[in-house]
Amino acid sequence: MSILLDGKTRVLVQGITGWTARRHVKYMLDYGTTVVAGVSPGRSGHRVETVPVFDTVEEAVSSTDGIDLAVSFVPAALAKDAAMEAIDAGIPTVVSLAEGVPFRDSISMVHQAREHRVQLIGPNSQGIISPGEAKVGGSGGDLPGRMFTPGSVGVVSRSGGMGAETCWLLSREGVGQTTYVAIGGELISGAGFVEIAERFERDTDTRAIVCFGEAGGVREELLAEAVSDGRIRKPIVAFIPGDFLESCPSGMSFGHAGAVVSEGRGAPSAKRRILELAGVVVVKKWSHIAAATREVLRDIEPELSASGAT
Amino acid sequence: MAVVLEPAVKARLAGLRFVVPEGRVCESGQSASQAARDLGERVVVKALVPTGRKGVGGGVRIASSAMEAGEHSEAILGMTLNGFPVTQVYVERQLEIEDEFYFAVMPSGVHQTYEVVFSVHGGVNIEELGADHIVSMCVDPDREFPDYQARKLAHRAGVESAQIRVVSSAIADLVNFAIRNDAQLFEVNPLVTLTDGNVGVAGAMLSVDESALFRHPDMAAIALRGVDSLGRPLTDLELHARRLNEEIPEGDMRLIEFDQGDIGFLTLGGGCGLVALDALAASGEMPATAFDMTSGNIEEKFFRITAAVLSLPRLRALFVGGNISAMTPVPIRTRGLIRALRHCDRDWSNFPVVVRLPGPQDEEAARLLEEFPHVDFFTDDVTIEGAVERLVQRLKGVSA
Repeated sequence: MSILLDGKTRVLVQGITGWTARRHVKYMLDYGTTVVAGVSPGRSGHRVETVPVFDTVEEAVSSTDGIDLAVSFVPAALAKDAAMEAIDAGIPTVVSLAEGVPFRDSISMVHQAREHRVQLIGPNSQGIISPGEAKVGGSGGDLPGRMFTPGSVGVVSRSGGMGAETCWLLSREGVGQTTYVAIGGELISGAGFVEIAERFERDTDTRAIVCFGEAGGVREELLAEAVSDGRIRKPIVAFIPGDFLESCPSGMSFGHAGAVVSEGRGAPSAKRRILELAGVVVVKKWSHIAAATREVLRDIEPELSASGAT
Repeated sequence: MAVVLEPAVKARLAGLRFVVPEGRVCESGQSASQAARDLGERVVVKALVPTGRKGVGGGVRIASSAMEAGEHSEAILGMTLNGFPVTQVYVERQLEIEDEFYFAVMPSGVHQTYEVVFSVHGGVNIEELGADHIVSMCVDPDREFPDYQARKLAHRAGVESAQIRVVSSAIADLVNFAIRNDAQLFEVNPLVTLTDGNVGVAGAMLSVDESALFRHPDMAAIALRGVDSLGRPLTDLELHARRLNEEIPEGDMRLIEFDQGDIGFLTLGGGCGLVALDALAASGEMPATAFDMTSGNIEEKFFRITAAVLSLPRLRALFVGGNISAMTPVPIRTRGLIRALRHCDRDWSNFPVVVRLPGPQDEEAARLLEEFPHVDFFTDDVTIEGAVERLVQRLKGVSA
């Protein structure tokens, strides 16, 4: 199984006629994703691959049997408007891929999603993939099999590229994934680690969770809290880079706007400590993630691990 | 973040429910004297540089005559504050201050919305204040921040009853100003009550969310990008990167230079960069650059920045790395790299170049690099950490 997305999830693609969207819609369809409609204002009546295009999300919803997830390829300046439209139309999960969305817009999106009880992922999400079932966004491009294999580990990451790379590492060590969710590296975004971990907690097929964190923000601290108070009981393996960043002057940021160590707050070393105290397995080197994950899987189901099944 | 300097911020603050003192930008003691004369002789002279804590460095001085204003200006002009040479001062009419408060608005990762921070202990370094002396409140960005919320905040902070109306009106207007202008950090320190009963903005600092500059063309034209996260002026290489971004907007690029490091680092992807930098630092070597570039068809841009990095005289090696999930066809990067290698005159036998770029058409990229035997090219046959380790090994070979 999986969280948020499987082969039956009815997906809407916003901004579907853009160059990037067209490319990825093909990959998504090839992978088995059920893309039922697309929206591009002014392009009603067109098709992208087999997917009918509509002017509005409302029209797309009423012209189909319903939509479960909207993924938005629109550029940063339009991301808020697209997300609000999908939220307003009652779509339960909205994935925003745009990088460089202004804080003010992200804050509105997050606020709106909360009011409507919609699960917003992103902005600046690379997407979601449930290996063997479906994918939305860019995850894996045209060769997702290179990185993602079905299995029993849930993966969640603030870095899209490193999350995919972590799945690749796990896959080549025989540890497959239920779902990989890229939550994005922004300071303000719809889902943190807790929201995704809670879903993994409820998913009967996910037996362990792997987290790729970063400096800045409080996502990791909130996860530690959720583990400490028993909301997450499944084993978690976490990796948080940024020792070099931590040694740099306060406030510096290299890539993600959210990955900033400011006045000592948001330091990776502090995050690792807090997670370890809560009982999370924190690895020092990224390449150790696979071995650590195999070990936690062995601890929970030794007979299954012995047989080689994951 | 993009810094808007104080004179421009104060100009934008006009017409709201508080006093904004008049001021002039001056570049000499003489013009500062003249400005002081026009502004009533009692003025404040401030260094006009994009860095905070100017007062600590002697960059803010009070004058009670035009002559004193001129003297202070001359002393401040030519100073260097946090690496920024002072070429301009801001001469501002002095306010008749009664009390000083602290005010700021910024997006909060904890609350996932804007937060307004306020204290009745203003004019000092906010970090020195204990948590008891600071009150904060979350702000709904989709609604005007109302006066009554500002009154609640002011009351909780301990603002006296007699001042509460004027102070809270100012707070409300400042909050709405910050949000309207897409502030990533807007600080008024101090926000002051005046002897005549009004409220005034004595010190104001605005850093605008760079991602929002597209909708503030007037601020985009004057804002200083990138300086505030570094706390120092941009280096020549960093300026070069900025200009390249303006010339070729596709494939947005971020580059930071480290004076103490001598390993050129060009990693693609924020997370990849962090992991690679950690692996390098753990080995004892130091990067000369930290870098990120979004995907796109931009061989030319990659060539030019790589050539610029390779031309740093102190450089001892180059690392180019990316994630397996990269969407840009690898040959676009490697063709840019090859052009840069050809462009630079170096003894490659003593200069390790390690490239780890898995992705579309990486086999073709490998073929392209065959004519450069000194370049190690990896795809997913090694991890990012492994590729950095290979670089470090080769460096040991060079110095041996």
